[in-house]
Amino acid sequence: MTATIEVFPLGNADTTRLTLADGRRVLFDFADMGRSDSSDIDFDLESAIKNDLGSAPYRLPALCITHVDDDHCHGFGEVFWLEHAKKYQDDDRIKVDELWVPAAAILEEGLTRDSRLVREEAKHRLLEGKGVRVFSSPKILEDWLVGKGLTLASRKDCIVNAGQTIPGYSVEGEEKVEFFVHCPLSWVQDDDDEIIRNEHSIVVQATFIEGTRKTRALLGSDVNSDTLAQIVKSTIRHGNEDRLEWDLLKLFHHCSYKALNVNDRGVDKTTPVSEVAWLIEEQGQDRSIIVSSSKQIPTRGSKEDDKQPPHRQAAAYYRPIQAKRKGDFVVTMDKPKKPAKISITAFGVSLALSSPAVAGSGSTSKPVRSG
Amino acid sequence: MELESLNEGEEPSAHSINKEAKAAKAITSDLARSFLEFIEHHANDEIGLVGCYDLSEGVEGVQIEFPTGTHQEPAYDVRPVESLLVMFLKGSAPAVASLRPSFPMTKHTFGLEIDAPTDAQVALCIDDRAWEDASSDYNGAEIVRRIASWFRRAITGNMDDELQFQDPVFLPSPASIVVGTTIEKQILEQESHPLFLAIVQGDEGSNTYFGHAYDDAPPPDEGKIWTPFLVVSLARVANNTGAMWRPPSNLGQLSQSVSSTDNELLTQLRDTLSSFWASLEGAEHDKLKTANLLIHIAIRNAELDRYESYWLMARESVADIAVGLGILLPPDPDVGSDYVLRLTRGELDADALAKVGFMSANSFGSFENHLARAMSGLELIAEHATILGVGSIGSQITINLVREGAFERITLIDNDRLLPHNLARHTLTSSSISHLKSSEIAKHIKDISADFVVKALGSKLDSSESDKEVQQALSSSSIVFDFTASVGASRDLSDCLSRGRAVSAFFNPLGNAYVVLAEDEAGHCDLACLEAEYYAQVAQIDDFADHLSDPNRVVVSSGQCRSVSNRLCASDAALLSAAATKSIRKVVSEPSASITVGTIGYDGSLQNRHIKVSAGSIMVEIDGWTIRMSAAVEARLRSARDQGLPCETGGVLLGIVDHRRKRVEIAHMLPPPADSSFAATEFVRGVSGLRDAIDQVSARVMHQLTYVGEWHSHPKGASATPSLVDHVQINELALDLASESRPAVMVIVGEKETCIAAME
Repeated sequence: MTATIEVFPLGNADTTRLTLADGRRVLFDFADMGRSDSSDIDFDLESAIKNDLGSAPYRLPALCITHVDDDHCHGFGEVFWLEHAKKYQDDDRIKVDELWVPAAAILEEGLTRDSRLVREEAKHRLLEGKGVRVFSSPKILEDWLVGKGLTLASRKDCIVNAGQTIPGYSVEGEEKVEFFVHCPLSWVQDDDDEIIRNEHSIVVQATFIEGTRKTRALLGSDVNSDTLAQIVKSTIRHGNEDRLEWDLLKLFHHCSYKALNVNDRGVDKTTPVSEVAWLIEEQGQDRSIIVSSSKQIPTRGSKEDDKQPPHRQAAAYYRPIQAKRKGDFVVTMDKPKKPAKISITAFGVSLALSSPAVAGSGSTSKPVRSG
Repeated sequence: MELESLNEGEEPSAHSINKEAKAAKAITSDLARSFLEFIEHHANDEIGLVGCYDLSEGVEGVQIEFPTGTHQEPAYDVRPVESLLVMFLKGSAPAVASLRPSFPMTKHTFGLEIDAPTDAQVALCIDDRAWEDASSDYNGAEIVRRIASWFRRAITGNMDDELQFQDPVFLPSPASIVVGTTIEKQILEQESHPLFLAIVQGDEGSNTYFGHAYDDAPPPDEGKIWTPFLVVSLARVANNTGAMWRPPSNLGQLSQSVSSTDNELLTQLRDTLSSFWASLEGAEHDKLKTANLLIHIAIRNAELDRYESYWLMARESVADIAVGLGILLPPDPDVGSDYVLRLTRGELDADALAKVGFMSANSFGSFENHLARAMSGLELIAEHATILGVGSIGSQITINLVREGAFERITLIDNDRLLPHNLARHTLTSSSISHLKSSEIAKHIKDISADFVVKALGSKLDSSESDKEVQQALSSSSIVFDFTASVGASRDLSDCLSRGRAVSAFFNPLGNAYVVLAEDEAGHCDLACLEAEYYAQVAQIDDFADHLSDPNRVVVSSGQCRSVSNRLCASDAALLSAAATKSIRKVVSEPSASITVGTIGYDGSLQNRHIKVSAGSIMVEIDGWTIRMSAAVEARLRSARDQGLPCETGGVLLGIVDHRRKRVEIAHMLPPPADSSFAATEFVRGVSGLRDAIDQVSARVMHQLTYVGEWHSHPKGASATPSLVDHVQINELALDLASESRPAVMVIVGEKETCIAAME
């Protein structure tokens, strides 16, 4: 089957579903923002995910929480079967075979609600030594393990570091995809000496193969330009430039200027730091697609034109680049009723469309009764 | 990828719509409203509505952002989202224009008219059909489906599908000009001498005109003369991407509509006019000066590897046009000078050229064989065919085959003349009554295709008559059709040695079936042989029990079993003739000999039976008689021998006896009567029921088969040489048939060979 990537319309929040060539689903983040009373999001993410998985009991092969911000894990405790507490175990919940989290998610203190539940679930699984992949192995993770009477070596099968691919996924396998980990970088976390949640989040490049063509999707989280610059430098240093090529970019931080230049938003357009400019301008491919998982891009002077992303200055940087390379810049909340769906074809990415139905196909595809 | 500059505005800005936007609810066209309704409620929010406009009187526009679903390697430069303007014109198909200046000119696009109410230049052809045919299929959803389908095909490069065939280069014009093959050749060969045409309107009020060579034009109305049109042919090869071009509406547009930078048609036109002006003298020069201009644009459609052309007719004089082209200086009344050729060419006078309006016209050549084949989708059967008999079935099959381009030339042979009763099912009409059918059919063919080469001979194929023209026609034809419905003519043709492969077609007397007898390619199974086998099949096959029964509905007596004067309605004659034409096409494509019988059911259905006939025969001659047995008959005898072993078996033989030609064709055998006796070295044919059996078969084939002799087998290991007993028997048979003035036949089937013994 054709692999697809769907980015859901959840406001400034992230959920990206990968449907692999072998039918497996991998979810990057889960932010059911429509559950929040104050939310103006009316997209029912839980139903969308469950309907796609079929009927109960639901099983999801992998769930990646790139970091534990609420806009990346809202509703985690209500929707998923959590191993660490019976309270979160009933037949209507989705069982996750493998939970992917950054090391920071295990180590961060002072978390509440869904963020805390992600941490507790990840901790539980790591201590059990199964059903979890922890991204990066900073010193403090090792210390934490030692504190639990374990060693890093004893949990090495649960840990994947930047510069590696995630085990269990290969372009040669039926899933026809591999994930190369760019972030978090263990050494950066050691240098930082504290948890900086966004910067220690998960960034991966997914490489799909269809026919003979490789299609690459860069799945950004909320990292800023400093972290991206480190990723770029580190990648170039290792001669892995192709690991930063992209045909699809799930944009960083809801189209925030900070991913381009953390220090300068710009008046009309953000000027990116050189490493990020290279990443966007050189590594993006002809007719590629950028998806901004964000609210609509504000116009100048509108009430949404404020500190919060999305920033029109960042969009003003991306859009002409995409136009020039004959690609597309898609904002999820421009079409709030359905996810932006990208097909991975033998000719690269294409925005999947629901073709106009044949007349009467709605009626003829279901039984019609009359009394 | 290289990004020299990433400034906004790199992509040329979109074409503008220089009209005030209006509210969607103010749109009045029903189709536009349906389109808007679909976009708003049923398009899954995928299509962006940008604005609605009154573009011009009676033309409303809806601007949309249409998602194409393109991938990264589209065959044509299709973007993920395309900005489109859908224009709704009353009484016309919606026009879908791209507002992107760099939109590719792919197949199934066409240029918008220069005065279209938008700056957009390219429109997507989403439907080839005439709007009168297509409009009932259209609603808003259909427009979206067709646009989506168009982009899907542009992305994959498979632009032609069941919805849209390959495009011509030009959009059609309302008017057409038809020229004959001779003129067409002259135009394409672009002789140095100018060609003047008279353009004569067809039926009054029609948009079809005929281009006649000026001097051969039909006489104009009294007191009038035809305006001479100077034909200038401008040709170029179109490395056609498939976009359809709109003919220019004036001379000034010639460059921008059709020319390319390396093939400037205005330059070609200037060169041609200069050359004519300089080379002509006297009356020809005067004619040139006053002639109007008729430009023939010929473009090679590289995609389809064919030439396409159209006409541009200007109503200005060549001299005035030449002034605008900077070739001539205009007359100067002050000094009394006429038009003068400029020594060096002047500038093009854009204003003057823009005033030279064109009437564009589609170009039609005459209906000739190439076109006939293109239209029928069928192949040439033979370069030259001779057709014997153009009666009811003959005229219909002949006309069908001519219309299908089956031959390059034909010779028609028929000495019959048209009589009133023939009109019941002949292609000719009452004006031909009393005329030779062959000549009249030849005229009819000329009316269909003036350039078709057809020769009519008012002769008759007769073995006793040596008609050189007929013989020459037969010997120069690779295929000869016998549509005479005459047994005699068919047999005479069969006897003719110097001729092409023969195929005979006729109706049965009941008028419910056609029969096609086709000789084999190698010429080993001739028509006479096939006739015998045809009767044998009719005698054997249950379905054919009534095939040759006499309906006794003769209108005009002629006495032949295949007489065309049987009662037969026109629709059946047409149906059977058309079916026979198809059968002929099939059988001539096969090397083997065959018999095809197509029978109409009561409901008009047609049941065909196609029988392949083995080639080869055994023949003996005695006292001027030729006795022949086909391989098919021999095979049946041998099979009966095998079944009878170890005893001998046998029975009576039926065949065609032709006293005129002194021929006996052995066609059929009857099973041994019940009182026959069988032994290892002897067979005695009984008599029980035999006469009745013979009479039954004879009646079933309209008495075309008669008793010709006997056959028997020899036992295993034995030869076919007649035994002493056989010699005695053949003598007795000969005595018996002496009263019939023909030899008796005895066939003996041995272990390996078959022997025909005959005695008169």
